[in-house]
Order: sequence, then C-alpha cells, then structure tokens
Amino acid sequence: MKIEALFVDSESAAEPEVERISTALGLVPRPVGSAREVFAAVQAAPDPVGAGKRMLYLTANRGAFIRDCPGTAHYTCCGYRILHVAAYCSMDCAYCILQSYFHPPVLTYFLNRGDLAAELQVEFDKQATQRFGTGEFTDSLIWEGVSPRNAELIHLFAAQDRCVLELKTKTTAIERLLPLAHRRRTILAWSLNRAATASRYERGTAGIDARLAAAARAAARGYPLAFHFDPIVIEEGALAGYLETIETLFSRIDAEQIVWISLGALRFMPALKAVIERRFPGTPLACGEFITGLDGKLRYFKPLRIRAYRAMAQAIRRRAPGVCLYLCMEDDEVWQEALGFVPGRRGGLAAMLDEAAVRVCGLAR
Amino acid sequence: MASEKARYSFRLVVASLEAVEEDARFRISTWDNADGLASSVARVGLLVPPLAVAGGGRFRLISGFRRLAACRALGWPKLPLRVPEGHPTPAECARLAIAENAWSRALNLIELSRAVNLLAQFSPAGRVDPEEAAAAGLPGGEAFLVRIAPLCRLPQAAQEAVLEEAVSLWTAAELARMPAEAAEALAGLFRRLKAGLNVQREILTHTREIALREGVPVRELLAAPEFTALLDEAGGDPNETTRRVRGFLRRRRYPHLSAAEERFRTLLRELPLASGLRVQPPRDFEGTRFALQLEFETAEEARLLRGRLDRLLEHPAFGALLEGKRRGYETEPQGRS
Repeated sequence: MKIEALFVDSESAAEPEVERISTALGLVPRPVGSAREVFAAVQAAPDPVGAGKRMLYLTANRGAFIRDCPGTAHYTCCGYRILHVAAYCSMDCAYCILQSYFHPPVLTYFLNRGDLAAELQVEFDKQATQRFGTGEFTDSLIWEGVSPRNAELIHLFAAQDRCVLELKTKTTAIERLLPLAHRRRTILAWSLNRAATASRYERGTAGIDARLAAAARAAARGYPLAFHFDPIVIEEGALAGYLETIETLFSRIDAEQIVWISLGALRFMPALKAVIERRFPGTPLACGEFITGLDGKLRYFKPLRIRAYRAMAQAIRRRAPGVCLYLCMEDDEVWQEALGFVPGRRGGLAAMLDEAAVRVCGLAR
Repeated sequence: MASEKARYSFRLVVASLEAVEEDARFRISTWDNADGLASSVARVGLLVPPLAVAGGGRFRLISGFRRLAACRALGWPKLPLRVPEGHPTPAECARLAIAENAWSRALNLIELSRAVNLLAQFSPAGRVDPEEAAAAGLPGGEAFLVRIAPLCRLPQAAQEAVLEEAVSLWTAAELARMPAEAAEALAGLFRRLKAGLNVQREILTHTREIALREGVPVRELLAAPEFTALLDEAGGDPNETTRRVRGFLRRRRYPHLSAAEERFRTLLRELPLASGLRVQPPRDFEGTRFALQLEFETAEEARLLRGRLDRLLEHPAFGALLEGKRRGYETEPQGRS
C-alpha cells in the first residue's frame, strides 16, 4: 500500500487503531470534520480514481457492517454476506468495478471494530450456516500491513462452529495469518486469471505464480482455500491460458483443501467503460463482444460465456471431480449448458456452497 | 474596464504594403480566398482597416489577413491600418485579434479552436480562463473550451470535414484524440457518408474498438480491400453506403452475435410464418424467453392465425429456433474464446 495522505474523521481520532495505522504508514493523520473534505481532495486530482487509491480515510462505519451480496435479478447469486470492513483498493485492476461504484472512490477503513464484533455475534447466535467475506468492496488482504483486523476476524470465527469467513485477495500478504489458530473457519481465497490477463489488466497485484505459491503455504498451515476465476476475460486465444492456470493450480494445490472454485466472465456497468478508456488508454478490455445483460451490465455474448465456462469446468473437474464449482451471476441456461445442471436441482447455489463449507471446513450442521 | 479602453486606443496610419508583414500566430480566419472581398473593396473601399502593431518603421499584421490579401490582389501600393498606441504584448495582441474576429461575425469551430489556443498560448496557466474567453467574445463554458481546443490541430482533411459540417463537434473532438492518420481516414469516410451524429458515433466507436481489439490501425482497417469494395459497390448513394458501412462494422465488431442473428433469420425463413404471426427472440439472445406476436383485426383472422400457429409449433425448425439459441445457432461449438 503506497498511501500518500492519511485523513481521520475527527470523531474517530481517539481510536487506538489510528496511531497504529499512522505509525505503520509513516503519515500524520489529518483530522477532517466530514468525508466531504476527503472527497474534495480526491476530486481535485487529475485522476480521482487513481488518487483515491493513495489517500486513506479512517472513520467509523455508521451503516451496517453486514450486508447481503448485491446480486441482481435474473442471475443466480451465491448468497454470500458481505462484511463491510473497508472500501476500495490500493491495487489497480483495469476492470475493477469499484472505480465507478463509489463516488468518488477513496480508500476507507472503518475503525469501530466493537460494532463489527457485535453484529457478527448476532449472526453467530443464529446457529445457522452462513458465509461471510470482506472481499466485495475491497481486497481482503491489502490491509495486512496496517491493521490486525483480519487476525481479529479469524479469531472471532474460530470461536464458533456455524459460519465461515472468506478472505479474498490478489496479494500474497499472508505472513501474519499463517500461525493463527483458525480452526478452518477462515477460507483464504485467491482471485485467479490467465497469467497474460493478470499482467495486462491487474496492475499492482501479485503474479499468478506468486498467488498460487502463497495459497500452497496457506494450505500447508491447514487453511481451507478457494479460487475465483473472475473476471474471465474472453479474448483471442485466451482460453488456453486459463486452462494453463488451472493445470498450475492443481499441480500445486491439493483439491481436498479447496472449498469452492467460481467462474465468472467479465461484466460491468456501462459507466465503467469510459473509466477504463480514460485510465487505461489503448487497452482492448472493453472491446470484447459485449451485449447488455438483463441486469443492465455489459456481458459477453452468452454462447461465448458458455463455451469458456464449459471448457474450464471440464478441466477443473478432470483434476478435482469433487470440488464445489459454481458460476457467479449466471442464469439457469448457462449453468445447464456449462456445468450440466442447474443449482435449483441441488437445493440452490447458497445451499451448495453451505454444504461445501460444512464438508471442507468442518462446520457443525 | 476604463483602463482597458485607454490601453487600446488606436491611431490610423497609411502604410506601404511592403512595410506590412503577417504575424500568422494571430490568424483566426479559415478563409483563404479573398476574391469576393477584393471585389467588394474595389467597389466600396476598405471599410474597416486591418489591425497591425508598429515597430522599427514596419507593421506586423495581427488581424485582417483577408483584407490585406484583397488589397494586394487589387495592386494597392498602400493601405490604411489601425495601430494600437504603445507596445502591446503578444497576449494583448491575441486578445485584440480574437475580439476583432469574434465580435464581428460568428466564428466556425476551427476558428473558435484557433482563438482558444491563441488565448491559452499566452495565458500564464497555459489554459483558457472561461471568463477571459467570454470577454474576448468566445462562447461556451470550460467544458466546451476544452473540447474545442484540439480541433485546429486536426489534420487538414479532418478540419475540412469540420468546416463542411460533415462531422459533428462530438465526432471532431473524438477524432482529435486519435492518431492523425486515423482521424484523416475517418474524416474522409464521414465526408463521403454525410451521416448524422448518432451514426457517426456508432461508426467511430466500432472502428476504434475493432482496431484496438485486432491490433490493426484504423487507417489500415478502412483501407482494406473488403471495406473499400463495399464503398464502391454502393455507388454514389450516401444512404446505401452508410447502410453497408454500418453492417460491415457491426459484423466485424460483434462477429458471433451477428452470425447468430443471421442464422436465426435463416431458421425463421424455414418456418411457416404467415403475415400476422411473428417470433421475436430475446434481445441479443441473452434472456430465455421468446415472444410470439399475433396481429389480427377480426375473429376470423384470429381463428386463421390459430391454425397457422399450430403448424408453426409443430415445425421442426421451431424447436431448433428455441434450442439453438444457447449455442448461437452454431451446429458445432467453434470460434474463438
């Protein structure tokens, strides 16, 4: 994380974590009366989307820490629950939806961890299988250098038997997590891609080999793993590269350690296209064969998605026939054509994933 | 404002044409031809003397380039000039030249662009302050000024397309962001098509995205034999040419979708679809639900359609129409991914 300016909400300035983060970053926090001052600083930059990655705003989450995944109608959602511990990302992926999701986007870290723990306890007390993750609005592990939040969450989840935490990343920042007593209640998940796509479109992230090496180390410490081939970028000759990554994955990772693998083709709201063109000039990323999906997002023409999913699913199943493999935000037609079944026949996608979590992470039923 | 007025007081001098030289930095007008003006000057005289700054017994012309050309064409040995008192700086000369042009007639887009660049060139910040632009007689806010600024740096063919109004401001601004040869090639195409803004937007976007995806320069794409052939085949009809160009670019930009649409239409032709009965696929074949439309006026027509509908539903091609959608109506999986 290369943060150049640190802001702190005046009301949260006394939180002990502020000093720790400030020391870790070597920056003096600038107190602000409201988020507007931070937004103004971001907006004043020639590239606000890039500037927001270099400014960190410490504040309290005044809304809910736990949110439902913003799945859209017409496509099947995994029913994952978002732990909204932070927002935005210091890495710079060309396709990242967060570039146009927040207005303006700015790295934000929430300090009121007591509220977070209290909300989680309410969910734990329900004694129901639930899957939580922090990787929806940020990369889960970019905060490793500045905050012990992940360790705290791992301990909280380790103390119960019904829920799992998924930490999703494109980094290799697992060093501090390795020795923790996680009790397999935390899944370390990596976003994977074909190597050429990652180096072309995932600026500032760890390479695919490095991610897999980190995953292997995590597996050696007993962590359950997950992998997300998302977004799959459909370009001329790309499929071979994805199949290569799948081969590399299974040459390094024991399939028994994997809780689930997801596949999701690139999709984005139309507003992101202009951001991509402006911030990554000359990239052909937005020049794929996109149509407007039923949710208003741009998606690859359906037969192209099906073809890519089917080939990748076959490759994954050859190496890991028992692994829970799912599609992110696709309809039954695509499921049937690509995977040979629809989630409804197996109790629904959420139930499939819950079952996988119970089986691989040893959750209580 | 009073002090500004005092600064720009002028004296009238009569100068030898040989003592007048053009300072092209301040040229705003895109009009080169002074024949019409020469004819007018010959009849009624030079109503407004050109603007020049004096120095060392010579004069540098900063506004009135066509008027000077007209006097030269008429063989005048001398001409009257308005000369500002004192020693105006280049920034002041720019303001004078722009104001004289902008307040005397409506500037075209290239002239506006030249004026904006002239102001920016002498602005300490290197960009135009909208208030100063307004004071100089230039229209529009900051966004307009930013958009218009690069137009005068377009290749000549593209500038001509702007002047002919063969390309819209949006298109011109987009052309200005492209390499010169790409802008030139597209401007040439738009001059030929005489299409409206939306069609220009579609053609430009498709062309740029195809070029980017395939790694082919725009100029090369538009000079390819298959593209030039379709222009030739359309003859001189701009509407037919536009239709063919749009079809070609869409097929190239969306090859799989276009092929699926074509195969769908082929299947549709196999079906016994009489008038009054229409099958509509989901948009872009993304959704799963087809639509059947029955159009009738009388109960008798409706009964007739019922019989036709039964025949349609039993036709083997109807099943293929529904089932083939997920494969894009390809018989074997193929193509790139």
